[in-house]
Amino acid sequence: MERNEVIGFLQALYRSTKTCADHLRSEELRLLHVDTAVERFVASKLADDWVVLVTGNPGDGKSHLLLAVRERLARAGIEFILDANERSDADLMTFIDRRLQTGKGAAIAINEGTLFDLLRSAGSAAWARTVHEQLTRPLSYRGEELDLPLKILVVDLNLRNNLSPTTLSSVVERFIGSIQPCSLCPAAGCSAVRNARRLRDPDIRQRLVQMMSRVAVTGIHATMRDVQAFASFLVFGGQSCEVAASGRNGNKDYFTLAFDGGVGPLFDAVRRLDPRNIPHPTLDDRLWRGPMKASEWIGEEFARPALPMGQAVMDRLVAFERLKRCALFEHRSGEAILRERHGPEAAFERVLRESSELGTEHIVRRLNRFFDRHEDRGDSLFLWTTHRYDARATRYAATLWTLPASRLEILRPTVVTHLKDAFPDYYPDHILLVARGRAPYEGLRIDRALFTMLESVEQGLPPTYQTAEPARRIGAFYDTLARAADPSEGHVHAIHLIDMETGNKMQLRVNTRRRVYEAG
Amino acid sequence: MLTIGRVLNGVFDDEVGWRPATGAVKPVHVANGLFRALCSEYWDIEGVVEFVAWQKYGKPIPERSFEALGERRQDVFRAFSGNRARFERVRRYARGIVAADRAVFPDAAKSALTIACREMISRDDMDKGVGTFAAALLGDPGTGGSLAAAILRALTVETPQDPVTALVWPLISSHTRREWKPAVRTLALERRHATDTVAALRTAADCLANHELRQGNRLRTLQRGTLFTCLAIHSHAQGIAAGGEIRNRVPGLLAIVGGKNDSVAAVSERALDLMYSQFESWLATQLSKRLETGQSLDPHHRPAEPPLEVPTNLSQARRILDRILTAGREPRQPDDTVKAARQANLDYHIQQLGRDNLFNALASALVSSYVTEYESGGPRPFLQGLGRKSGLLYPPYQGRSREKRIRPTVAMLDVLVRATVQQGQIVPFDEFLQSLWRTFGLIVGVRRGEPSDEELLARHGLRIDPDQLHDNAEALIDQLAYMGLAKRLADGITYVGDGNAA
Repeated sequence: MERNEVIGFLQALYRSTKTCADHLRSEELRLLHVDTAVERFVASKLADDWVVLVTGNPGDGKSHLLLAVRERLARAGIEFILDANERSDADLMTFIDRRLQTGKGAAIAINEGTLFDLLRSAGSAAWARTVHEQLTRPLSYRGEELDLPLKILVVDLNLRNNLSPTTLSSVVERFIGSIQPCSLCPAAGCSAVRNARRLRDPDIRQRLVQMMSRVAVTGIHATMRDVQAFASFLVFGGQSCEVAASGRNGNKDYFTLAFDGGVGPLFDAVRRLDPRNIPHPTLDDRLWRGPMKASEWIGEEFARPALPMGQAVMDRLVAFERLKRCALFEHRSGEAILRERHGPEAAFERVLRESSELGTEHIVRRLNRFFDRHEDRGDSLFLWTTHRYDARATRYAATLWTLPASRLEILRPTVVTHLKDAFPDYYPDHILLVARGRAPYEGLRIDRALFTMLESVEQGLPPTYQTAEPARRIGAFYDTLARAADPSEGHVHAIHLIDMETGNKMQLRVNTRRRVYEAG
Repeated sequence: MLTIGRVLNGVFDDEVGWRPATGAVKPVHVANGLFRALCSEYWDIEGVVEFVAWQKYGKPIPERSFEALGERRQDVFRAFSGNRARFERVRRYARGIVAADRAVFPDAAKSALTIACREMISRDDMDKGVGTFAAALLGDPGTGGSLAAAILRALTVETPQDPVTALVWPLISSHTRREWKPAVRTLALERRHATDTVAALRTAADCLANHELRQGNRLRTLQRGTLFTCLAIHSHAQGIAAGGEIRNRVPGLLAIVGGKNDSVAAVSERALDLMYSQFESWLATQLSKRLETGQSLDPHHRPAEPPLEVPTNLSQARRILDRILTAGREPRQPDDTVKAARQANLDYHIQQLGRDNLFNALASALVSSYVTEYESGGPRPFLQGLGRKSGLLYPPYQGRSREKRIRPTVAMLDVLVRATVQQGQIVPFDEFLQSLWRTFGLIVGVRRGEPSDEELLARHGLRIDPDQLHDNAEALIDQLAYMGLAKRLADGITYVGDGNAA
C-alpha cells in the first residue's frame, strides 16, 4: 500500500464501517491484524477437528479472526463460513450435522442473534442443546465446568478483553508503526505525526495502556473496531490530511483527543477518567506553580503546554487542564492520578478487580440501606418486603427474616474452563451476591448501574429518588432468599417495621400460636 | 323505577361481565373481589379494621381507643398494657402496612385490606364484579397449573411466613368465615365479541401461572395476579369495543420514551381516548339491541326491573328519557335542566344517526346521559382509574391532566413479560411484541407483521415519525434490560424473558 493510502485507511477507522473484514483487502487486513490468544485457541481446536462457532457483536472481529486463522491453517479439509447471515438456517444445520458426522473441523462466524435463531430452528438436535448451554452459560462462578459431549464449541468474542494491556499495546504499536509523514505534511510534520512520535515512546505508551486497562474494569465491552477507532482518533483527531495540513480545525495533541471530541461508548468511558476531574493535590500544585524541570517528564525532548504567567486566571486554568491531561501520560508521577479516583465508579472498579476488596458485608450493608437509611449493620441482610397493589411506591416495609451475611457470598465470574486459554485477559463486568450453596442464577447481579445506585443510597439518596428497576432486581433476589429462609424458631416472631420516608422503625413481637402480641 | 345509573347494568352484566361504573375503583378492590371469588368465602375483618382505622371524619372513634380495645381484646393487646404510646405507634405502622392501598374505612364491610392471606378478604364489593369475572378467566382453581390455583395457594397460610400476615395474625380469626356465592356473570366470557380476547388472556394467565409456581414469594403472586387482572380488564374492554375483531382494536401505544409533550405520549393519549370512545359506542349498540327487543335494562336487579316500552317514534323515545330517575342515593324525577340535557343528547344523536336509527339514537342518548349524570363515574373513569392505579397508565395519580398515556410501571412491565414469555425462556423481541399485541392490544410502534404497528396507527388516524417509534422501542429494551428481562445481542437483535438471568 502507498504511504498516503495507508494514512487514509487508518484515518477512516474512526467512525467507519469499512472495517468489516469482508470489505477489506488482504493488505488492509494484515495492517490491522493483531495476534490474540483466541486466534491461537481457535486454530488449535480446528486442527483437532472441532466445529467452532465464533460469535459476538458486530465489530468484534469474527470474520477477521477466521480469515487470519484460515491463513495460518493451510490444511485441507477445514471449512470456513465467514458470514453465517448469507446462509439459510437449513443450510447451516446441514453443514453442522455433516461436519460433526464426518469428524472434520469447521469454523463459522455467526452473530449471536443469528445463532439463537438457528438454535430455535434446530430444535432438539443434540448439537443445538450443547451449543445453547455454552451460549447461555459462558461464565463460571464456582469453577463449574460444562460437559462437551460433541466436538462443537462456541467461542464468544464478547469475552475477549480488547482493552487488555497485551491487545491494546499490539494495536497501538501496529498503528503508530504505520504512520509516516505523507506528501501533504508540512516540513515539521502534522499533529498526527507528532502524536505518533510521542506514542512511540514505550513509557508513554505504557501509560496509555494503563489508563485503558482502567477503562476495561468499568464494565464496558469495547469491540476491536471500537479500539481501532479510538486509536485512529487519538492520532488523527478524526480529520483528513488535507484538513490537518490547512490547520483549519487546529491541531490537537493525543492527550487532548483522548478526552475531547470522540463519539461513542468507549470515548464516554474514557472521559470518566479525564484528569481534569481527578484532583491530585501535590501534582496539581506542582503543575500550577511551575516551572517544571525537563527531567520531571517522560520523553524530555517533547514540548509541553505552557501555563501563561500574568494572564487571567481562567486562561491559565484552561492551559492547566491541558497540562494535567498531558501529565497523565508524560509526567513521571502522572500515573498517580488514576490512583486518586474516588466515588462509586472507582469503588466498583475495586470490587471487580478483587471481590474481597469490599466484601460481602459491604454489599449487605448497602442493600440494608436501600430500605433503611439508618442501618449500619452489614453482618445480616434484612429481607425487607413491601406489599401494595397500587402502582405508587409504598412507604412502609416490613421484615420477618434476616439472613447472616456469612450465609452469603460474592462470586466473581471467570470464563468457563474450556475457554480459559482463549480469553486469558477476560475481565468481568459484574459480580454476584448469592446464598452459599445456591445456584449462581439465583443470585443478585451487581453491575455498574446497580452498584452506583447502592452507593448513591449510601450517600443519602432518598427513596423517592430511587428508580424502580433496581428495586425489582433486589426484590426478586429477596424472593429467592425468602423461599429458603427459615423464620425465627418457635412461635414468637420479631417483625421489623420501617417508615421509609422518615427512616423511623420499630420492632414488634407476635406469638403466632397464641395469636397475641408480646412485649419487647 | 329505573335510574340513569342503572340503564347499562344489563349490558354490563350480560355482555361485558363486570360493571365499569365507578372511577373510585382501585387494584386492591379487584384483589379483594378476585380472591373472594376464588375462595368462595370472605371474613369479617372487623378485628383488623378497628385496630387500623381509629378515626372517622378526623375524629377518634371512642370504641377503638387504646382503653376500649385494651379492654375488649385483653388477650391480644396485653403486651401494650400501660403503654399507650407504643400501642398508638404500632397501629400507625400497621395501618401503613395493611391499609397501604388506602381502601380501609371505619366500616369493615366497606373496606379492602392490602391482602396477604385469605383471612383478610372482606365482603366489600367495590370491584364491581371484576373479581368474579376474572376468577372465571384465570382458569380452574382445582387445576394445578392455572393462575387461579397459584393465587389460591398463595392465599392459603397455615402459619405466617411473611411479615404482613404475621402482623395481622392476632387480629384475624378463622371463626369469622362467611360463604360467598358469586352472582352469575361469567356468561359474558363466552360471548362471541369476547372469544378471541378471552382465549388470548387465558393463555397469558397460564403463562404467568408458570412463573408463579416457581417463585418463592406468595405476596408477589398475589400482587402480580391482581395486576394481571387489571391489565386483562383493560384489554377485554379494548377487545369487545372492537366487536371482538382483534385486528380492529384501537392499539394501545406504549409511550416509554420522552415526557408529556413528546409526540409519542400525545399519540398514546389519543389512542386511549379513541379506545374509550369506541367502548362507549359499543355499549350504546348493545343497549340499542335491548331496547329494540324489549329486554329489561337491569334484569338482575332485586326487585327485577321490568322492560321499558319499545318506542316506535321519537315522542315515545323522549318520554322514556324523561321518565328515568336521576342517579344518586336518593333518585328523583329529573328536573327541567336534566330533561333538557337528555333531550339535547337525543337530538344530537338523531341528527348524527337519522330518524331511522331511533333505537341507536336513544341508546346513545342514554349512554351520554349516563356518562354525564352518573357522578360515581362511567366506563372511562373506571378504565382510566384502574389503569393508572395499577401502573398501566401514567401518571398514576389523578392530577390536573385529563389525558393519560400507556406507560407501564416496572411491576406492570414485569407482569407483561411473565404473561407472554414462558418461565426460564427467552424469545426474540419481535415475538414478544407480537404477543403484546395479540394478548393485550399493546404496541410499541415497531412491530412488523400483518397488520404492522404503523398500519394500525394509521388506520385510526394516528401518525407519528417512525424514528420516534424506533426510539420508543429502544427505550423499552433499555428498561427491560435494566430489569434483567432483556438482553441485547448483535445486529440489533434483542431477546426478552427471564431466561437471561446470570
